[in-house]
Amino acid sequence: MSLIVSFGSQTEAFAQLPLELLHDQGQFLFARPHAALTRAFDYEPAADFFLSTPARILFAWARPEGAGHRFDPAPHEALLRSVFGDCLCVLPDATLRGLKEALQASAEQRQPFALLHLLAHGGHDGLSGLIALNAPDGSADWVEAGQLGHAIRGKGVQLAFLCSCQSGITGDASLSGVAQQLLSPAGGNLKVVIATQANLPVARSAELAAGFYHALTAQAGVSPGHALASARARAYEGTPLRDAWSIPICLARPWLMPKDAAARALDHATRNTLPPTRDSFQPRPEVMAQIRDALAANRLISLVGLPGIGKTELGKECARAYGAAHSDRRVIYQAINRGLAPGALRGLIATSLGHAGVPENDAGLGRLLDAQPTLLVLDNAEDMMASADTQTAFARQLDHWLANASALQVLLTTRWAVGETRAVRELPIDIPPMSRAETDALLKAELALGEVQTPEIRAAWAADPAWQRLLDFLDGHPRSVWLVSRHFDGPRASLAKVVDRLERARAQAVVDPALIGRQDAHALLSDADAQRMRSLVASIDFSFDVLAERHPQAAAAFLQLAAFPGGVPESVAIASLAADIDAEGWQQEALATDSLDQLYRYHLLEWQGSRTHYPMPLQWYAEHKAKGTPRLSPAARQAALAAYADFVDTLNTGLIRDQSPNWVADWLKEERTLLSLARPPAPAHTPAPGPSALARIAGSARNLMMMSQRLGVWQQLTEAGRDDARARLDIHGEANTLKALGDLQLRNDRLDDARKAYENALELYRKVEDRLGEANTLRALGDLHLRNARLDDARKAYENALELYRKVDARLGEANTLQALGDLHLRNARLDDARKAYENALELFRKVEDRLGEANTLKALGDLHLRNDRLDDARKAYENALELYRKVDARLGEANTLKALGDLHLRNDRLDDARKAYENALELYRKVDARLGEANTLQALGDLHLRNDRLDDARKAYENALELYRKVDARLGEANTLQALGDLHLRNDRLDDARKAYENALELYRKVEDRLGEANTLQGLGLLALISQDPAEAFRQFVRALHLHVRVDNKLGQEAALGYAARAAMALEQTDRALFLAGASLAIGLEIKDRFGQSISLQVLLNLFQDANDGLGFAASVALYRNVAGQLDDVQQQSAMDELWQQLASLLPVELMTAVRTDPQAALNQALANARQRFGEHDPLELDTEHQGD
Amino acid sequence: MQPFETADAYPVYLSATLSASENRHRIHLILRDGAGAHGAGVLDLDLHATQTAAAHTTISWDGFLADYRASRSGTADQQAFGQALLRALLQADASLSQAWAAVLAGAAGH
Repeated sequence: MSLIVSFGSQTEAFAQLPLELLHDQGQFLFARPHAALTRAFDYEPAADFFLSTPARILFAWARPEGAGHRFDPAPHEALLRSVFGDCLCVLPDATLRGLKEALQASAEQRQPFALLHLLAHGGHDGLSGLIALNAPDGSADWVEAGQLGHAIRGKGVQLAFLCSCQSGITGDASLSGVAQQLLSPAGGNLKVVIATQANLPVARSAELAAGFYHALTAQAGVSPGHALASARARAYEGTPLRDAWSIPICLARPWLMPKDAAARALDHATRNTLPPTRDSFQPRPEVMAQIRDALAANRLISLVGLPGIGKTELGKECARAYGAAHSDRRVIYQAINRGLAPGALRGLIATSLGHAGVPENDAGLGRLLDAQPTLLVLDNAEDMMASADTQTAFARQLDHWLANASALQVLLTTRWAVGETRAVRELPIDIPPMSRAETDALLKAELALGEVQTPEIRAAWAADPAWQRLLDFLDGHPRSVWLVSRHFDGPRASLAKVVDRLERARAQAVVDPALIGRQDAHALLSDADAQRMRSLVASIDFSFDVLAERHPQAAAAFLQLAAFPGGVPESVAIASLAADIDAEGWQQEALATDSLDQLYRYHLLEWQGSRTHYPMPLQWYAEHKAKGTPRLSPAARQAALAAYADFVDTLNTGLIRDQSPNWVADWLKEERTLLSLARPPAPAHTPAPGPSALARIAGSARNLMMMSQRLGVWQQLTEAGRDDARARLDIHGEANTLKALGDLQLRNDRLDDARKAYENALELYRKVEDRLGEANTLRALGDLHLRNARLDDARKAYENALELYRKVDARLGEANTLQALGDLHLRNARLDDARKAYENALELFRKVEDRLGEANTLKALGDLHLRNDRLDDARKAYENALELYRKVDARLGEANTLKALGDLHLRNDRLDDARKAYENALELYRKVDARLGEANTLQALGDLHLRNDRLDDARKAYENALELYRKVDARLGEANTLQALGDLHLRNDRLDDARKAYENALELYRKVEDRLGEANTLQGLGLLALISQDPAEAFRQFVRALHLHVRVDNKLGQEAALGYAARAAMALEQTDRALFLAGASLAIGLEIKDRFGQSISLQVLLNLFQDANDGLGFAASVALYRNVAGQLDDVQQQSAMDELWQQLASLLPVELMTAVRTDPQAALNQALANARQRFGEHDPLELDTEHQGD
Repeated sequence: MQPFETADAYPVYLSATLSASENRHRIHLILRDGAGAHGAGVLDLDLHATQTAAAHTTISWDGFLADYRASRSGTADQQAFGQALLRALLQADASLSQAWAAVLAGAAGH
């Protein structure tokens, strides 16, 4: 077993437990080989561990005077030498500076130490982990964790083994342990640390460490967790370390697991996404019953009330109860932060439903919501309605969702109702303050949860008259209760004094309209509500004053965080706060973290997931205190951007690996803050030269912005990144942003701008010799050329990219380029080259374990096999692709493959299988809201129904397809369906409908310049004219079609058009013209080996020669038709022709029959030449008066 | 294969998070494996309380932790703690103990 424990933010109390000691069924679970336990801290960015061999190791040891027992390092050195030989370097009596220099020197020589083995005394002083290195004078230098992290950062070390006491202990504060600091990106930025959670007997630990390294390096791909498990098991099996086997622990940066992420996504989509119940929640039966009744009968309900009155908790708990009572209904919760754009809200809801790709519009989201009965809870909805305009826009957004999802209910918590919805009527419910009994219960619950004083003191307080004054002050307002309850701590706490102070604060409190959010809503406050708001302000004032007295740095942090009105990832908050703290580098983060902890404790700040944010009314307060919107100092802004760059990198890496919607959701929450950081109101300083964090963010966020359809944000952020990179002379950053801008222009169909951006990026990548960047840009240029139909340029660009990818061993890039080359070859009809490219791509995708790439290539190979008529190979490729798409939960790929399988079954006449495949594809297309796919499948189903003579079903399918094609503005699809509908109407003798459909199709084909479609429709119109007894008109349409088929070099079309024109000529009783045309049709059929077409032409010729009483032509046609019928296995026609031949033998001269038998094609050609001579010099394709009838 | 997954590994994931900032001792646990075992519950972590270990025995967690960090604990103490810790984790919710049984069965059959 390999247990991977991930610790969320602030879970230090749990992380301190020695989970390695878990014991079950008479044995320690992790004292066995192969039983690994790896600890990861969720809030740190992901990083993969990879040890290339031979690995170099630095063994640094220190045993300064006064630090503790003077151990003997010799056994460690001897055993490490036995594992690493010459790759071991020893740094005796290590000082911090010596350690730093040794690591630096090896990194500069491009021979970094991948492993660091540190043997020294260690400990934890409550604030920080410590390691005792040598001071220059030989005394102990107790180096703090953060200081050690900075010393080894960026020098190529991947893993550190700390043979130091308590180096794995987390301490009470975040990131205070040595191992945590070494893993932190802001500290050592290592991938893995082996550390100790107790005092490790040094003398005996050498063997365990050597066992670990031996297992780690014995073969490639062994994880550190398993190497440690193996070493620990041996220690437990009888060495003197038997009681200490569990002390070394494996800590690692989080890594990304596609399966796990897929499971999370699935969880997300199927169960409710409500946050857990607040620990101190007290039910409010009366108002909850009112909400429950409203949910039973309404689709849009708004819980309206004052800030902090408890709307969120009531909404959450009522939704939870409603979900529990309706098992078919999913409950989706979405908190709204200030400044969230409507498009971002759409994206957040889509990701909550399990979709990484965000619909382009709200109707699209409505259709996703329609897939299952849903209760959507939007918390703090007033932030979507900060002005009358945005309120109207929000109402329209709700209208779209509700109109497109018939089983959708929406529950809003908001300070004011929406009031303008059209799709359904909104039911506003006013949330009153809590009753006195409810307030009393909540206050008692909060004090008990916070372990404020003893139960006896709390009971005494509840009986004190001041308690009643406190309840009067709180006045049923839950937010006031939460804020106030933290201030009764400490040995000298006095209930009466706190109440006195609160009452004084209320007397002085001023409520400004911004607290309510809008002037008009503020003007409507009742006196009681205004008084309640004064209590809230007094509660906040009081909390803030106490904080400022006891923890001034936390108070400053509270104000500074107002620069992030929509909340911020905790890592960014810490980095930003740390930058303004006047302390040594390694202490800054610890102090910033401590400030956040204080703010959480006082309920002045909260976190959700890995984000930190103000509870509802406190954003206003922070801004109010900071006198308007505060600005970050340049250092804090820069630190925030650098931390954001790490954060966005993690999201992007995750998205590339598993396409989970969670990464997109995490991105959407940050875009507004990033935009405001990217464009500060007035830059006060010239940026220093160096890497631009903003450019890094813009480059990394490209995929996230594309998936979330935030093209405007993409443009703004990337342009800001480009400008910043230029100002900082960061050529690489500028190249990355130019490449991202090129991608955006391509997406926006601005092909020339895209080309310019790519070419500029290419030049810069070459300047800084970034081969990978160059290769990526060349591939993008290849895609661009393809869009411009410059196929040769595209090929050259791809081939150049391929060469570069191979040089830098970027196999995923190589695989993607090979796939693109395969597509290109296919377009050039170089089918064998396409196959080779796809097969090479497939091999690479498998090597890098890119399942999605593998599935896409298999699908492309399936299409190729289909084109080569290798139907069985095509089926196998599709089935393999299908399996992979299902594994990685790529539903669009799955749907496309099912559609292709349906087409394949149709070709194999397995009509029922085809129908099933199409229906499954249809269901998936609808789930992912891929309307073009849905329309294509409906059209294919229409064709299938037509083949089954289910004409009414066919019509319905076509009409549905048509509607969808029109909605997504797919004019080619619309034209194809109109043409198919025309054919159907023709078959039903609805000639007028057929004409209309054809004419509409024709107009569209001409608009999109699809000549083939135009030609086919003209043929349909010709047939219509033929049925309508207008052969001259029919003839003209067929000839027009013929010209178009010639123009696009479509031989099959030419063969058909000539054949149809022959029939029209026949109807015009122009036998010789018809003979000429049917002969020309047959010639093309022979050229392209279309036997079925040949058989049709020969049937026409038979009739024509019979009409012309041409024995030679008739006999030749019979002989040739017999041969073709044989090739088509048409036994019936074969015997009919044999019979006819026998009859002819008795009627026609022997010489003629002999000539025909000897060479029937020559005989036919002779008969056709005779007809052409009879027809004269006229153009057979031009109708004229002279030849109106032969 | 992922970086921390060896060929013979049977990966099991335990995540520990807090639901909200008000209480650091209510740990939300989710246990799952690749085969679909899934359990979730809330552990009220009280290091000061006396915990039940094996039948009819108790153990003080903070006392044990102090001894363990100072390398004063023996195998028997460690066993008692390991049993009590596992019991506390699995008793946080019935679904966790069910998931654990499924994990052990899955790992044994791997």
